[in-house]
Amino acid sequence: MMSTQLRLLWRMHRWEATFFIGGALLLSVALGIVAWQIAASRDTMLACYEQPFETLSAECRSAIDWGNTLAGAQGILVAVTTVTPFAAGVFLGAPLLSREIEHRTAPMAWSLSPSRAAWLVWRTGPLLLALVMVLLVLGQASAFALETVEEADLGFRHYGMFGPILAARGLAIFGLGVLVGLVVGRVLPALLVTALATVAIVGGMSIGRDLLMREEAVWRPNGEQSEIVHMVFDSGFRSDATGEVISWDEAYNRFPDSFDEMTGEGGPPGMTSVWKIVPPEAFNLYVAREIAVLVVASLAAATVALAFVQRRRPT
Amino acid sequence: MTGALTWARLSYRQQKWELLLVVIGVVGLTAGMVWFATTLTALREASPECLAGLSPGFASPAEEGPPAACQAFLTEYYGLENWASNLTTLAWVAPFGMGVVLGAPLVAREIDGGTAQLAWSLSRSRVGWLLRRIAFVTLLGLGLLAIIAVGSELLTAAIFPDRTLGEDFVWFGRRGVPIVARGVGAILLGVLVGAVIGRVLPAVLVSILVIGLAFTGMSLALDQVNRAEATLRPMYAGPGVPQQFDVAGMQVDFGIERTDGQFMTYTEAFERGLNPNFTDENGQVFESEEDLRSGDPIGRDAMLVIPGEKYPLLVLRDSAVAVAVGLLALALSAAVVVRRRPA
Amino acid sequence: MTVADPILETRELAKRYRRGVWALQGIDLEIPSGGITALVGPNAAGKSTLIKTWVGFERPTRGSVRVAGIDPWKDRSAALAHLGYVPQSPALYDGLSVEDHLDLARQLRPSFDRDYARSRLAQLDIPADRGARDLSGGQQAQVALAIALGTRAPILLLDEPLASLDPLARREFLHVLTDAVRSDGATALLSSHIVTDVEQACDRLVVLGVGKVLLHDTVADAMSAHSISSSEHPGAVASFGAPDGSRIWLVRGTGERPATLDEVVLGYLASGRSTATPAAAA
Repeated sequence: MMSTQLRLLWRMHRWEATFFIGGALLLSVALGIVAWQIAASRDTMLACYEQPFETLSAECRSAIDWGNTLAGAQGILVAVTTVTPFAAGVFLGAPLLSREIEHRTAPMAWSLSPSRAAWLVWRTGPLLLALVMVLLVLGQASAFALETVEEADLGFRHYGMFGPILAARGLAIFGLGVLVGLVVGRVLPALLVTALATVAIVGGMSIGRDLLMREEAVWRPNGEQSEIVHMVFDSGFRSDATGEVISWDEAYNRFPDSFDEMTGEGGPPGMTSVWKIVPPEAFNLYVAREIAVLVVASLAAATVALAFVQRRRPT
Repeated sequence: MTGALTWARLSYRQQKWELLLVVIGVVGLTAGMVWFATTLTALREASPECLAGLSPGFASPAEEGPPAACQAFLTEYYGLENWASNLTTLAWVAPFGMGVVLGAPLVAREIDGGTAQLAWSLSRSRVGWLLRRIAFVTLLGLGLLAIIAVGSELLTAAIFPDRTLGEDFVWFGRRGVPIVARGVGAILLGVLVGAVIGRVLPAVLVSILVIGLAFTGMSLALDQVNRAEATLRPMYAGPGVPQQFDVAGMQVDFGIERTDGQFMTYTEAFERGLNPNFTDENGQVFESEEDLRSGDPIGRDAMLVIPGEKYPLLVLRDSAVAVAVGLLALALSAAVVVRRRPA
Repeated sequence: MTVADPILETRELAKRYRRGVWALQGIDLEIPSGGITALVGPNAAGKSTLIKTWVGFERPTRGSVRVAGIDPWKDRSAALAHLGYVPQSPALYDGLSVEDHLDLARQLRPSFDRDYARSRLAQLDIPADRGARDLSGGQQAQVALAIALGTRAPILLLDEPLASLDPLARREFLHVLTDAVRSDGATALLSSHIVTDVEQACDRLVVLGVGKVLLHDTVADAMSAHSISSSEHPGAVASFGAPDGSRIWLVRGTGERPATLDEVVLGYLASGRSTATPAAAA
């Protein structure tokens, strides 16, 4: 029964499945290979970097070139990985039911199945499962690839590029696509609406996350976690005695003769230069929050879809 | 005229959803570009002292640096500029998106939906049918791309007010005529893919690949051709004095101008067994310290730059190739439509 | 059967699809002008394929076809000028109304007589402003027929237009078709697997089975030349099961009782199955 179901679903969706699920698997393999090659050539490259540039051997130059190529490839692969959950969700979710309605196969399907809700689950379940599993694999592969290159723990700098968040995003967009497809009932318009909605959601979530980060950012001494420079929301100076934080303008007004200290890493007398940042240890919290929001959104989309399919005309 | 209007009306009715969504997208994008252009211009005019001496987009402050009071202004200004540049990236993507969304389904839907049988049994010429079928959507798509092109040009002018954009390679391909010309190529390539595959969703997916690959190939080929337009400029104008950066030009490559006037990249130099590891304050390149002491260079650091004055030529070339690709795709589409079964 | 100046003809027409399936095997057929010819056969007999070769939608694997003496593969434009076509399960444009379809037809074929098509639809009370997807199956078939009639083409090819219609709609469709053919002097070829429908409307009968022409005659002659026997007969064409479960024989000549058209067709289809041989490889 299961194999028949899988066979039928493959026959119905082989183009999209090959492109996105096959593509995501291929991407995972590519990330793995690149990471492996980077790891394999790391020691050689480090040894070469220790040589004076003027006396670099041909082997070292070749090794460095190869390392740069791998780094470039990894960058492209990770960028594609970041986009994959959205693209896969749109192209797998939106046409799923809209095609049934547009091609008028829904009347037959809905007349055969005793429950439209059961049909909906039958229709979407396997593809959704395959998508989530593949994105989990992809998330792990991306994490492996990034960890191989980065010397610090992965954090906000690579937010959305690795880990289970990819699967959560794919799940949510897939659910959105299914719902849109069910409502619109035509493949191409459903694709477009889902794509536009995805862009809006991604933009909205990005803005929302940014606002939350600003709210939750804390003051830390300048230089800590310097690799996460892009998460700096503000900078200033904190009094060592009172803990009061003042802005650059205020510091300039109070210490007009201490400009040199201010522009270095120290700060004016009795003050420490500080950044307002989201600390790296908060990374997992943010990821968990987004996954929770996406899962709730997916459940909401599924609930609405299950309710809507009962009432919808099949053509 | 009546016939054209009827075709336009019929084509609109057949692709209403896609056309409406595309129009909304274009209007939104253009409105965004115009808003950013006016906002950035207003900010610039309100606080000219904060941007004095700064290169737009690159904070390379003058010796004194901007006043501390400008910190907040600059954060806001560059934040807006960053968002604005994202919009020009969308302008770059727009032609390819049009090809996928508008071009690929045109013929594919007729075949997929079985209506090609009706149309091809009525029309005595399938080529005539094809041309009339795609005319409205293609022209509308190109019109929308023209609006984006103008919006992007305005935005670029607002971000770079002191540059002559007609002779400047800044954001090449993200503004102006190339957007429309690439639209011709992309839409007609989409039509070809749709005619071959005959099913809407697979045609949309495959057209993403085909259009992407076609334009990547085109870009790589043009890079080779355009290289011939580049001039060789030394990296140093004098002892310890770097050459003034030609912001309007297109930097093609960096390398060494040999003593015989030939240019080679550092990679090529190493491949030829040279060792260009030593450079003096004049930018002269030597193979060893001894050569440096004896003043026996192999050449000097140089870059290949296509001067800004050649911008119109490269725009024309890029556009001509894109249109030619489109017309070739159209011819192939006609050949496919004439021969293929309608279902 | 040979006719003078056939308006539709095939010469040793054979068509093979991928995986070696022969849809048509060496068809020689000549359809005279005027009247309505029924092309009858079971599913997968090759009826649609035959019609599509005349329309230029299927290329013959072997042999040739002619439409008013024109090879549609050599001069498609000229051939189509003589044709009006109603496809199997007519696919109309979902986003267009009935009137839009007439506009479309006029755009595609400048000689399209929109008023004539409109009048045909008005007689059937099919609103011009109704969306195609809101029409019933019968109404969609009538719209497709009206479009074909509006071409004012001398030849109408109708590929199983009655398949999805209820008896009343079928009667109505045939009535419109017959009326139009008689008044315009057109030639119509109508494929169907429902024999009783065509018996009233059609003048000629072609029975197609396993990709071959099994019978080609006028309806009247086909019926008068055959009879039924309840036992084996020297002039038997074939035997087949009767509705009451008994076995009967179709006889060319005098038997126990006259054969109905249905029985004539069944008999020839049975004979075709028993003598079916695969076509020789190309």
